[in-house]
Order: sequence, then C-alpha cells, then structure tokens
Amino acid sequence: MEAMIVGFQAIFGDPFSIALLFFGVFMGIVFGCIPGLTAVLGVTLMIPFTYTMTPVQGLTLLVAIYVGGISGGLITATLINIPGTPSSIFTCYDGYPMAKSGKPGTALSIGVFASLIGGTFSALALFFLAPQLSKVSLIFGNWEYFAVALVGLAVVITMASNDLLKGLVGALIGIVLGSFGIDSISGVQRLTFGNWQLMNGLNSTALMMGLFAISEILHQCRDLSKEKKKIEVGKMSFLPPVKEMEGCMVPIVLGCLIGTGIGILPGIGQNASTLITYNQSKKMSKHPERFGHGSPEGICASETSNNAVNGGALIPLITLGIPGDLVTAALIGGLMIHGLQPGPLLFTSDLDVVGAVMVSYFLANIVMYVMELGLMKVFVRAVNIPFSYLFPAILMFCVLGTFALNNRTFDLWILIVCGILAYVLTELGVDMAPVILGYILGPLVEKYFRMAMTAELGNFGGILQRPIAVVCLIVAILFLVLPLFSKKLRDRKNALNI
Amino acid sequence: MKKTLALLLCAASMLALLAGCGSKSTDDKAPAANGGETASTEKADYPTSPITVIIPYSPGGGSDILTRKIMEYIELPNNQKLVAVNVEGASGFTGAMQAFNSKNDGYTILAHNPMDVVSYSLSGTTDVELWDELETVCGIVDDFNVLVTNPQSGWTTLEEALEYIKANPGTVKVGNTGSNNCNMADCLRTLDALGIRDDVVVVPYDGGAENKTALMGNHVQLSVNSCADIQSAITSGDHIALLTVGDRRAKFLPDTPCTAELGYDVVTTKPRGWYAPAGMSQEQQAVLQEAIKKVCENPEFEQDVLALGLEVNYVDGAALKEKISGWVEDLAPVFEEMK
Repeated sequence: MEAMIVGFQAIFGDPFSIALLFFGVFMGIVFGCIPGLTAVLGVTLMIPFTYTMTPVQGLTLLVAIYVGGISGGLITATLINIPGTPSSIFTCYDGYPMAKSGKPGTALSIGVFASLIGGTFSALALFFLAPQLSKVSLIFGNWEYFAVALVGLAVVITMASNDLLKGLVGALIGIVLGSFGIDSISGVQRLTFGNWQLMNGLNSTALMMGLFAISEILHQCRDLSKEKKKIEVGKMSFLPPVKEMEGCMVPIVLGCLIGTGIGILPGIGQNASTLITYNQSKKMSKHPERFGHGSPEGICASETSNNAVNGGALIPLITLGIPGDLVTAALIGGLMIHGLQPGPLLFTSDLDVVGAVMVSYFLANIVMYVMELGLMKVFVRAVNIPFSYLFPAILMFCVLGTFALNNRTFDLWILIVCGILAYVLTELGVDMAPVILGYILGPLVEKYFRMAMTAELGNFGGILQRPIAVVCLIVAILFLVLPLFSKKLRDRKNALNI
Repeated sequence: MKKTLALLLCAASMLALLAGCGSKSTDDKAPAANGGETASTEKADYPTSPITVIIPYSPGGGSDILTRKIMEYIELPNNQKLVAVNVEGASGFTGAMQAFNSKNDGYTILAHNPMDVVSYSLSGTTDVELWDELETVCGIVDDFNVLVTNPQSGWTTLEEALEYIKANPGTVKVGNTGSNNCNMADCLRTLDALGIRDDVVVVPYDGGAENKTALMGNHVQLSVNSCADIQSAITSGDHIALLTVGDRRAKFLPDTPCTAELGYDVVTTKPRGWYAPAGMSQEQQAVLQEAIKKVCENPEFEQDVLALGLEVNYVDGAALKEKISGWVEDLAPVFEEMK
C-alpha cells in the first residue's frame, strides 16, 4: 500500500517519467504491432538507454514498452492474420475471421478491452497481493512445473478435435523443433549436425515469426492478383458492443487467473499462458464450435491472458528478485546498473523504485487502452491496404527484427526455413496451433521431469508427496481420457435413440 | 489515401533504421564525457575507428552491465569508443564462436567469462578448445562460487551443516548452476573435500536464478552458486553463506571462510576478462591492456563492480592464460569422471 503511494509520488513528481511512460507505451504499441519487431526487442533495444537515466525513469520506460508491446500484437493479428508479437498468435484465430466478416472495429475493441482487463487485474494483484503471491513461486518445485506443463500438453486433444492424427503429428513436429541444441542436463548436442550455430537451438522469435508471418505471407501471395474485397470498416466505440460480449465472462476470468498465475511462475511465459487459456475457454464455452471462426470469446481469452502475464511476472521480480521472463530479467539489469539489489530488501531501501514499477505498470495499461482506442481509426484502415504494399514492408521488418534481437545472420535462415516448413505443413492440413504447443511445452515437460528425477534419484513416486503436482497430474489425465469417453458415451446414446 | 500510405511507409523505414542500428548506436555517449583530456596531439595508429565488443550474454545480464560500466570509464587513444554487441546463446558459446570467427584486426574483441567455453571443451560438447585458441587480452574481475544454505535449514556455519549431513546421509539436496560444467566440477570437488559427496544429492538447475529460487523455496538445502547471482539474497538473509570456493575470502563476504584457509585443495575464481580472435597483434593488445588497467585502478569502478557481487582483479593476458590452463588441468579429471 505504502509502496503504491510512494510510487505515485515518484512518477507524478517527475514530468520526464510521465513523458517516458507515454513514449514507452507508444513505442511498445508500434513494436508490438509490426510483425518481426517484438515486445522483447523493444525492451532490449532500450535497455542501454536506461542506463543513463534514474532508476525510476528507466524502469518506467521499460515497463511501458513491455505493456504496449504485448498488447500491440493484437492489431496486426486481427487485421492481417499475422501476429505482431508472438504472444498474440491465438488472437489471429478469432480476430482475423471476425475482421474479415466486416467487423474489424469490433474485433479490435474487444481485443483492446480484454487487454485492459487482463493488465488491470494483474496490476491489482501486484498492488495488494504481491508478498503473498510471491510465495507461490517458491512453493513450485520441479514436480509442480512438470505437472503444470503436462496439463498444457494434454489440451492437444481439445485442440486437435477435428483431426486427432494431424493434431498429434503437429505437436510432435513442435516437440522436435523444440529439442534442437545442447541439452542442458547432459550437455549432449541434439540435432545440431555438428554445426555450432545450432548449439543454442532455434531462436524462438525467428521460429515463431517464420511459422506465422512468413508462411501467412506465402499463403496470401497466391491471391495477390485477385481483386481484394473491400472490407467495410464498422463503427467503433470505447466499449465493445454488449451483445458481442455474451459469454465472454468465462474467458476473461480464466485469462486473468491463468495469466497472472503463469506470470508468477518464473520461466513459463506469455505463449504458454495464452495457449492454455484459449483451449480451456474453448472447453468451457457454450459455443466451442465458434472458436477459430471469429468468436469474441477466443479474442478475450488470448488477449486477457497475455496481458495478465506481465503483472504476474513483476511479482516475483520485485518481491524476491527473481526474473519471470526475458523482459523482467532485463528489468533486473536496469536495477543493478544503478547499484540497486533486486529482492525483498528493495522494499525498505528503495521503496520509490518498487512503487514506481507497480504504478507505472498500472498506468501503462490505462495509457495503452486510451492510446490504442485513439489510434484505432488509423489502424483499421490497414485492413484495406493492398497486400502488395504491405508484404514487402512486413518481410523487411521480420528480417530486421530477427537480426537485431541477437545480431546473428544465422537466425534469418531459421526464419526462412520455418516459414517454408509452415507453408508446406498447412498445405498438408496440419494446423500450426499444435506445433506451437509442442514447441513451447515439450521442452518444459522434459526439462522439469528430468530435473525432478535427478533430485529424487530416479524415483517417480516422489511426485506423490507434492499435492499440487498430483492434482495437476489427475487433471492432465482427465483431459486426455475424457474426450475419448464422452465421444463413446455420445455414440451409445445416439445408438439407443435410434 | 496514397499520402497516408506514403507517410506510413516512411515512418516504417525510419523505424527499421532504428531497429537495425539500435543495439550498435546506443553506447556511444558514455566515453565521450571523460575521454577529452587524454587525447594527445599525436595521432596513434590504433584504434582509428570504434571497437566492437561482443558480449555473449543477454542485455541486462551481469556481463552486459560489467562491460557497459567499463565503457563508461575507459579512455582509448584518438578518443575512440567501444560498441557493445550482444550475441547470446548456449551459455556464451554462440557469441564466443562469433568472435572467434571474426577478423583479428583488433576491431572485434570478446568480453567473456571463460567458464562455459572451458566446460564445453572438457565435457566433449565441442572439439574446439576456445580458451586456448583465442588471444587472452587481460583478466578484469573475479567471481566466486559460494556454498550457501537457507534459514529453514537452521545452519549458520559449515560445521553445523556437515554434522547434520553426516548424521542423516541422503536427506540433503544440493543445488548447482548447470550440469556437466565447471560449476558442477567445482561443486563436486568441494563436496569431495568436505567429505560429504556421497551423502548428498546434487540437483542441477538451469541458471543461477533458478538455483537461487530453489534454495529460497527449500527444494534444496544447500546450493553452490556464484556470488554475483546470490548477493542480494545474502544481503536480505534469504541465503546464508557457509564457504567461499577460492584462494582468498571474497571482499563481499569478509566473515565467510574460504576453501584455501581451511586447507581444502579446491580453489577457483571465475575470471572474467577480454579475449580476441587468434592473431590480434601484441601492440594492439597492449593498448587495450593499458586502458583497462587504468579503469581497474579507478576506485569508483571498483565500488561499482563490488555492487555487482564481483571484485576487480586485473591480470595481463599471459597471467590470465596461465590461470585458465591451471584451472583446466585441475578440472579435467573431474570431467572425465562425470562423463
């Protein structure tokens, strides 16, 4: 509470901080909405600049870029079916069909609204429950991480409900893509073919931009010569139309809880969070058949969840000094360069810095909402820009963004090869969602399982002493088995009725 | 419509430029501030253009901050500057290889912690012996591995911990940063020296932060972690230092005994320093050595480094090479055993 007041003072007492807040959110939105320039890149590029600012200013800027960037991804995801930032992958599945059906304004306002709710919810959690919630990140050991990741992997069945075989093929391809590089436990090289460039595995930004941006461009290029149907830009309002939001309560609540929860657990991140929320919402929805065809529930699930992760990830950062993801790891650097020690002592030694992180996160969400609504009229027009103008620019940004993130030309090959791979796979009817699922969760399941087994000297029974893990394990098994059962039951019922 | 489009495209290409140059152009300001006074009237042959420093870790990490601190203080002939380029991946190996494959004209150097490169060669992950093939320009700071526990264990000294472990073999878990690397070798050697290697279970974690978190959550009761990673946890009382693995006490932990004074034959200090592609001329190296030496003598820099959990210990290239080779000799048998 006290931190909050001091934080407000620290930020409002310094006009430059406020200016940085607005600038950061704007820059974040721009980086977020351009495919290839990701939220992470925005933050990494800015870190060196913050070294010369005061800690409050620097952290405000980084937090603002982070918030704007994660939210901005929904714009291109909705309008041209290319996620601006990897965490918006699942927004494409419903945002784009809705925009295509003549409601781009509505789709955007639902997405932006969901972002605000997700962000604000986790900001409140950060304000009032940070010390309590931070304990969660300590309770979680290897078994718990393993079980949570397994629950995520088990949703592959829901995901691939149309064609189980192709879904499983996709998930397996994803797992293979995720296993390139040096295995961190035994130090063995996997799938590197002796090439040192592959020793760190496939760069995840390059891979995701390849899978989603490059392949989408390849697809749409085939229709370039065709006359593009002009989409009527619908009305836009500050709040999304109430009748569209029917049934969205469930995904929003799920997104807030799952997003914040996953944010608190270090090392899992936005992509896993949106993936789990999206599939869980589909499962619990009254209209699961509408998912993937422009369902507002789908947009809400994805956008609430990815924004809620941000606030969650800040919790272990400020209370324990533990980074939750790449961006929060960068924030730690921002503290240390000024000689500040991230961790519990920060609350006594530099309360203004702690408060500033909390408050700037809260404010950035609001600024993001207002700014995106204000700019929406401009953005929406993008839906009618001829692709022949748009695609060369997007390609250029993908290449630049991928290179700038780690200063290696090799990553560009990953971008291109993954793009072609995804194009071929989609042509063969393999959906990209299970591929991403396997890529993100496969390595997590493996890593934590092996670490847990090392710690227990190879005794799997150890998991039985961890109640959270056992519950997750049961849920995962139910996820896997129930759909098969319920199908049988339905068949039997149908048979009886005849 | 066309105008808007043109405008948008213009803005887009501006952004592209920003993204492309961002990581290179950002670091130029710092040295200019205090570089003016050294510039002699005579023009030196080296450097005549900015020098690229490859940092093989992510921005915001310990090595990144250290390098950028050096850039703040360093004064090079002709008022030239350093440009930081982060190339992360495979615990520093990717960036080190990129530096290794760069031109040896003196304009690309590597700011490195040789630990992981040594690990990869000794564990057989790669057959390039990078630490031997790169030029060693100089060593700049030392980092220590420290054996720590948490308040939940109830131990405050090494003796208490040893006593408990001896009385209850197999119940205590020890966290370590990574597996099959120098940290693991250090950890095993320390446990061996303490005579408890067979009485504890060693759990490898992926990185210092994960290792720290596990100890805070009492998933392990002891942990061997680097001073830089756990400094904040020690200050806050979430970690209790029991033993420093080193030939001297760490300045940051003046009350914690070190292995050398207890008579254990395990001494390492992870040296972080500057390296260069093979064949960089000795004259050029001397220029850099002199500049770095001056930075290291600056008490302000020393304080900054201490705040990072590291300590300044300047050694020249030959001494650094000797230090690393001695270390490799010590570690090789442990790696053989781990295979």
